[in-house]
Amino acid sequence: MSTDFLIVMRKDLDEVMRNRYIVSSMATFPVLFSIVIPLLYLFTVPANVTEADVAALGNVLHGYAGMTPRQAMIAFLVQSNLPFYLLMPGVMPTLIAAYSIAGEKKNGTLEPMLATPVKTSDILLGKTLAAVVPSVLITWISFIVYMALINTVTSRSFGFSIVPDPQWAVALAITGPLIAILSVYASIMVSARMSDVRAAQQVSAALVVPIMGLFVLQLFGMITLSLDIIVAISAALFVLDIVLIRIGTLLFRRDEILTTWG
Amino acid sequence: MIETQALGRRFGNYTAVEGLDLSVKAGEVFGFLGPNGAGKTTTVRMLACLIRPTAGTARVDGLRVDDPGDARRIRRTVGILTERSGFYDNLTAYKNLRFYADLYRVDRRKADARIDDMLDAFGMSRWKASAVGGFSKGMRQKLALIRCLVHDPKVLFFDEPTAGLDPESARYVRDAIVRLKQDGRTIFLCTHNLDEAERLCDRVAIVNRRLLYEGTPERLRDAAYGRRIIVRLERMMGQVHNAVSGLDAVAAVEESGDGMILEVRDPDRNCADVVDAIVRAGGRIRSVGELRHSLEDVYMKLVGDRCEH
Ligand SMILES: Nc1ncnc2c1ncn2[C@@H]1O[C@H](COP(=O)(O)OP(=O)(O)O)[C@@H](O)[C@H]1O
Ligand SMILES: [Mg+2]
Repeated sequence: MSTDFLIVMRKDLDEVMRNRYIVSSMATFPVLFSIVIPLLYLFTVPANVTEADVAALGNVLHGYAGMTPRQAMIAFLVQSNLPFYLLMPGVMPTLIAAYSIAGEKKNGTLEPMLATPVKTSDILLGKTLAAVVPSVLITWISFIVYMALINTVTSRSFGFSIVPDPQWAVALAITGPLIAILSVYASIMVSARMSDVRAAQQVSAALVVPIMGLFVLQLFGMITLSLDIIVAISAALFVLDIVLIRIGTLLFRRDEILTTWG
Repeated sequence: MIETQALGRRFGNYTAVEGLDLSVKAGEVFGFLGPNGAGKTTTVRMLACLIRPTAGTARVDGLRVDDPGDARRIRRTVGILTERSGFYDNLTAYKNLRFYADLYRVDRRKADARIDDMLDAFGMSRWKASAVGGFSKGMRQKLALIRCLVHDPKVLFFDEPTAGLDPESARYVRDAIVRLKQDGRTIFLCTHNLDEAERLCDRVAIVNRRLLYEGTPERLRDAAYGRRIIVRLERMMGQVHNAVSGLDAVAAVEESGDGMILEVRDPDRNCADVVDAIVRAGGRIRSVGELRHSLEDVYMKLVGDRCEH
């Protein structure tokens, strides 16, 4: 087992950290999802939420027995934020991966790298990890900040704390990384054909639609992101990832990169 | 050190290189000349195992370019100065070089020492910790030279190393090539600068998709034109013309003013006889000289001839 992928990963991370556009774009996600949105929830749910309002949400709140309507409403909103924590590991890697491929193409650095004895599979793995690892770590840290912030406010002001549903654990530990891998491979394939960061936007857009779809459907009570559903989504992503890794590895060969990536 | 057999590469249905048979000896500087689009970069990429041949094969240091295991060993053995000197603009010169040294698995301490030595030798030490983004084209090319040497390769491929450089940097690069040859490295130099080829190369090949010529620059000139002698007389006379055109050693005679341009076979041996014949026919000689064509004339003739076909 070669450790050359670590060399590629280290170099890519070094570059990413010096790229203001990527760093600032990546910083907006945690700020938005773990600070802005929870504060919005906490301060916009009115004190006079009634049983009737809760009932209007249908049976989605059945799991919040024993809470006041307001508490149930807040707890429900907090739990239903889960898709945002799938969105983060989906969108953040597209920035890094598409930039790293587009950047190598623009600077003409692919050829000197491919001239070394490094295996193309190590380059691909290094680039994948350089995109997946920071995205997943930032997602986890954001989640911790999110829960800490929510609970600080709820325990002080409302006298209760929110324990995340068990599906959060699966979503954060498994589904998120699987989405990140999907988005890296998709970004690499798209940016192989495109010369700039538009590739990142295209892949992000393709991911945002279904994930935000989950969020909206859930908010309107049309689905519940239960543990079963999260596990089923993860299984499907796993299969998709395997297929994409196969295709990506086939495309990521010296000859193809130098002659067809233009 | 480098041998190709019927080496060829197609892109779709366009043939970029065809039936290339070359042999480059260890320690020589081999010039690979051809106009734009002649297939120079394609050939170098095949020899450095960056792209695969679609026909024929080649060996570098005894290893086959089309064998995956050998290809890895070849990549370790050769250095390539690519057409574009690509660097990571927001990383420093040192970090860029270390990245490649690491990928070549050069021992960390050895790599640092080599990088320092070479930065010093190329007058670049001052810029070690500066981001490459701000470097001039000449500085980048120096850095690219250092990069292709970090793993101490036996064989070097230079793809138009002076193209687009200011004269001073170009000269610097040429001097570096001379030093690298003195180190005993084999150098495969793609260029369309004939003057450069003539000055640096032991042997040259002229290509335009296929091989048009291979040999020393001198032999190339002789092969294309023969060697010609220019004789200036006090006065041109008919007897003199007749006397020289009757000689076996003279292939052609062309009068020009008070002189003649003679195409002489094997002039080193026959020139004295030709002069004798002129003197015996009553010609009074003012000067005898050799008329040499530049490599450029030869090149234009070879490449031009093929284009008309
Ligand atoms: N990846 C490619 N796809 C299609 N045609 C190519 C490709 N690479 C090179 N060619 C063509 O092959 C020919 C030779 O190119 P190249 O080897 O770059 O020439 P040179 O380096 O001598 O200028 C050119 O006509 C070029 O357009
Ligand atoms: Mg070229």
